[in-house]
This record gives sequence, structure tokens and C-alpha cells, in this order.
Amino acid sequence: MSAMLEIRDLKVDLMTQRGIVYALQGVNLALAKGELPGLAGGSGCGQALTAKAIMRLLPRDRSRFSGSIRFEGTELLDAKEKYINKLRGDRISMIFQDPMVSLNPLMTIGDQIGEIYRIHNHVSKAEARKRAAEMLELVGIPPADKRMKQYPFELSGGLQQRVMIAIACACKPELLIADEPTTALDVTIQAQILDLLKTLRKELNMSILLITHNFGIVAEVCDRVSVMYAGRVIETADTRDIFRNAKHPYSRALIASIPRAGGESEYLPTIPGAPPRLFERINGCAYAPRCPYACDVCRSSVPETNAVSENHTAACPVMMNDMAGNI
Amino acid sequence: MQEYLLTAEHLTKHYRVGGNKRNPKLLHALDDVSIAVRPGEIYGIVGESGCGKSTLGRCLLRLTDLTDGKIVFDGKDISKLDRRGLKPLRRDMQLIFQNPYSSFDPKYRLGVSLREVGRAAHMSDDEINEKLNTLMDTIALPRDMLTRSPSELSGGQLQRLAIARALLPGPKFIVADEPVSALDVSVQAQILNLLVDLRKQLNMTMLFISHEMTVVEHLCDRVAVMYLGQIVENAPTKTLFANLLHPYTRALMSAIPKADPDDHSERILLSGEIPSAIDIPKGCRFAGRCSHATERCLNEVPTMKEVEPDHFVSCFLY
Repeated sequence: MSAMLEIRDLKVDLMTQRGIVYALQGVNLALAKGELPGLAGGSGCGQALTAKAIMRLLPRDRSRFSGSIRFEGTELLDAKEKYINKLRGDRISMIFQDPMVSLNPLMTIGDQIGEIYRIHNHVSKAEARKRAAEMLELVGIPPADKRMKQYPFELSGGLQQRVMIAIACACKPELLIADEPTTALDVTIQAQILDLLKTLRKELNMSILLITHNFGIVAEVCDRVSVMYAGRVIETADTRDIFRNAKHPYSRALIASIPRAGGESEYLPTIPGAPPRLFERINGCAYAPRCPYACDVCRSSVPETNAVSENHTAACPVMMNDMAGNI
Repeated sequence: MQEYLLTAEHLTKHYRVGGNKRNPKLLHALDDVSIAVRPGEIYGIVGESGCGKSTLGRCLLRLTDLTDGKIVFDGKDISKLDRRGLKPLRRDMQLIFQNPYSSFDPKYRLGVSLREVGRAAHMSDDEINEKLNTLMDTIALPRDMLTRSPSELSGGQLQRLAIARALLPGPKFIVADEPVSALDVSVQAQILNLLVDLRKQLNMTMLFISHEMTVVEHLCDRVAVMYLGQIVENAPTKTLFANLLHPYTRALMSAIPKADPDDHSERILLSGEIPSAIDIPKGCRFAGRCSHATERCLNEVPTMKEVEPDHFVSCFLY
């Protein structure tokens, strides 16, 4: 299985008013055609930033990059802007958490979807309208002819997110990056949107990189998952393995802290402390100050990512030790 | 001790959203909602956006006027009180909001924000300081946090302070409106644990509003499920989750993505969305999305029925 998207040792530094933030400190991620992996972790751990880096949406004058992002063999980090513009919305698309702020409030739904065909496929207005109507049917918002003329504010959050998906999938992209697509929605609507994403993945044969903080969503839709902490991917595994056999203490702690239906204990396990502020490069494991198993090795050098089994890697020196593995 | 700290009967709240005086267009935020909260109880209200759960919280605190209904708090009818009459009650009833970042004045140091609440409750400075000292221990934050600005703290720390602020005047009743929804799951767990502690230490009475069934199940003693301005099911937490009765409650529960890759239980996928609260459907409000709906559901309004001891549901199936 060759990788469609391959990210190697991606580092992103952001210049902010308060100083340089070393936001990504070496991200490794690979994604094959047709896959639906999850990218999970707490807030501020770099999932959304990784997505923006792939889409080249970060301001070039206020950020520094190193490492590599290859999409179908082409390096994206130093590709020409013109090339990226062609790629974006055509072969790689993205949807965001809050559809209301992502849609243009002054354009009708039909025009917003049609615009994609006008830009990427250079079709006539009539053709764009026809294709937009087809797209609306595909994402399940009939009757298309009525919806085409509506503005975003006339639709509920769930329908707005469907419109976002229609725009993102208009050109049948090879890769869709979904950044917390259901976080702003109610659970019953969330279930509908997740179903839609699963259907579209099959129908359009696309890969979806699903960014979420919700391990329930990971369990339900993702094939495998990468967990991020402090700007690094600390564990990657098949979905089953992350729930049954997580190796990194952070992955374990995250999963343990979810309130479950029928949970018996009164208290939930928590993680002491807070994620580090990334104003400096961290030498050592960023999780060590909060980790109950941390030892000297963890504090002195950045842990290497090692294979646990065929599809399972983790960056924790202690986990190789079987004793810790049984805790 | 009286059996209930707070009872609300037939609460109704309509907002006029158009039309004229004679023929107003009304948004039915709450329709005939009754609840009774025991002292020391955490009472959960669960439902989707727009079902009226926040309106219910605000009505109980009398932050808005009622269209109809009666609220008895601590043995006193508060439903008709005016601003002045409510003032002495404010000490006894406090509110915690969803977003900790927007619940503090960004230009005030946190201590200023907290002390303000104490002064509004006519506490002396000594009293406030003494109370703050114990509260900072309770929420497990160092005291010097009070000299910082909100922007220097994390969401979890701010939410702890929001809880401390609500506790400062020593309230008898707290409404917590989605207090953990804006937080990461590991931080959410910390706040939930804190609430469990508070209940034990202070015997706190709380209305806990949430859209997450699992959180409510974890924390609350009693749960009411709301749909489109009404309570559809109401029971002690254990009874309710052991035997979900209303089709909406079942759908809500089944829509939650289970954090377990081996859970292949069949999902009930609801079609459509919550109807508009302006054009209320005739009959059962859930009938349009319900797979069990019959002719009767579309025409007749179901009433609350006690299906098993202390388990109430409003559905014709039972």
C-alpha cells in the first residue's frame, strides 16, 4: 500500500506577538488511498495546524516550516502558489467545525457550490448550477431547486454542514480533511453527518482525514487513529488497538477519562497538570511532567517512534518495557 | 426538612417573535414543564439545542419572566416576585455558564471578578477573603491565581474559578448550564470530579443542564429529558438508564458514538431535525421523527404517565 499523503518530520513555528511558538515539533503521518484515519488529541496539540499546513493555509510571512508534506509524490511545502490553488478544492478539500462562519452569508447555497465548478472546471453558469443541484441531492438536501436559492442563515447547523460537505466534495477530491466536522452539532445530527461522510467516502472513493477530540467518533468511523500531543504524533494504531492495547500513557489516559454509559466508578481518571506551552522546543518527552511512568530517559531525549506491531507505532521509551505495558 | 428545595409547576415561557398584539406569533420555548428538585440532589436536564433546557434554567432562577406557571423555592413562591423582591434571593441561587472564557471580564483580575459577587451579596471584605481562601483549596488552585487575568489561565482553570464564584455567596441552589461542554475530555473529567466532591462536601443542590447523555448519567441523581419545550421522560438516573422508555430518549442514547470499537449495537438514526418552536406540531411533538408514531400520536397530545415507580414518560406506547 503506497501512501497518498506522507508527512515527514513536519515542524511549524508560528511567529506570534508573544514570541515564537514551536507548534509542530516533528509530525509523521501517512495516509493511503481510500483510508479514513482519525487524528485525535486534546485542544492545542496541533491537529488542526497539521491540517492547515497540508492545505497551505498558514500565513507564510508569520510561520516557518521544515520537513516534508508529499501528496501523490509532489512536495507541497515549497510548491508554487499557483499549483496549490489548483490542488485546493479540487484534489484536496477541507471542512471546518463551524459551518456558519465558513459559508459566505451573502451568497446563495447554489452559487457557493457552483463557484467551485466555475473556478476549477471552467464550466458555464448553467452547467455549474446543474452540477451544484446534483451535489445537493448527493449530500441529502432535497429539494435541490428550492435549496439552491436559499442563503446559509435559512438553514440549520446540520444542513449548513451538509452544504459545506457539498462544496468540499464538489470536485470529487482524493483527500478530504474534516476538522471537527460535527463538534458544533447535536448528537442525532452528528450521527447523520457521520453517516453521510461514510457514504461519500465509498461513493467518491476518497480518503478522509478526520480530526476529532471525540474517541467515540474514532471508534465508530475511523479505520485507525493517530494521537497527537504537544505538536507530535505520539501513537498510531488501528482503532481496535488504541482502545484495547494503547501503549502511550497519554492515549490511555485520554481514553480512560471518557464518561461511559453504565460506568461504575464515581470518579473519572484524570490527567494531572496541563499540556505544555510551546514557546520552546521540548527536549525529551513533552508528556513526561504529567506521566506517572516517566523516567530519566523520558526527560533527556525526545522519544523515538517505535513499532509495536505491524500497524502500531508509539513514541514512548517506557512502553517497550513489558512491566509498564501491563499497568 | 422540606421534601423539595425547588418545585416548578406548569412552567410556560413564550417569546413573541412577530405578528401583532391581537395575533402574536409565539415561540414556545417552554410548555407546561414541571420539575421538583430535592435538597442535595444533582438534577440533570438533557436534550438537544433548542429544546428549552437553558430557558428552563433561566426561568427557575427568575432571570426572565414567566408566561405562566409557579415556582416555589425554599418554601416561598417566587414566580411573581419583581426585581426588588428577587434581590435577596440572588445570594441563594447562582449560575455557571458553558464558556469559561466569556464568563469573566477580560480586563478584571480574577480576584476582582470573584469579590464583586461577594459584595453584591452584602458580604464583608473579611468574610469574602475567608471564604475565597477555603474555596481556592476546594477547587485546588493556588491563591495567587486570583491576581491573574483570565487570558493567562486555561479553560479548565477558569471553569474552576467560575464554580468558586458561584459558590462564594453560599447559594442553596446552582444552575450549571453545560459547564463541561467547552472543555477537553481530560479536563472535563477533572471538572466532573470536582462537582462530585462538592456535592459530598457541601451537600450542594444543582440543576445540571447538558446535551450529553453519558455526562448526565455519570453525575446526576435524577434526569429529565426534554424535547421541543417539554419534558418527555423523567426518572432517577439509575431507573431511567436501566429502562429507556421514550423513543426520543432511546434515539438520543443510541446516537452517541460509543467509545468502544466492539460495540456494534444497532443505531437508531433519526430522520429530519427538531421542528420549529414557532409552528408547534399538533399531537405529540416528536411524532414527525418517531418510528413508532401512529394516527393517535399525530392528533392527540400525550400526558405524563408513571410507567414504573417514579419513572414518568409522556408517550402513547405506555
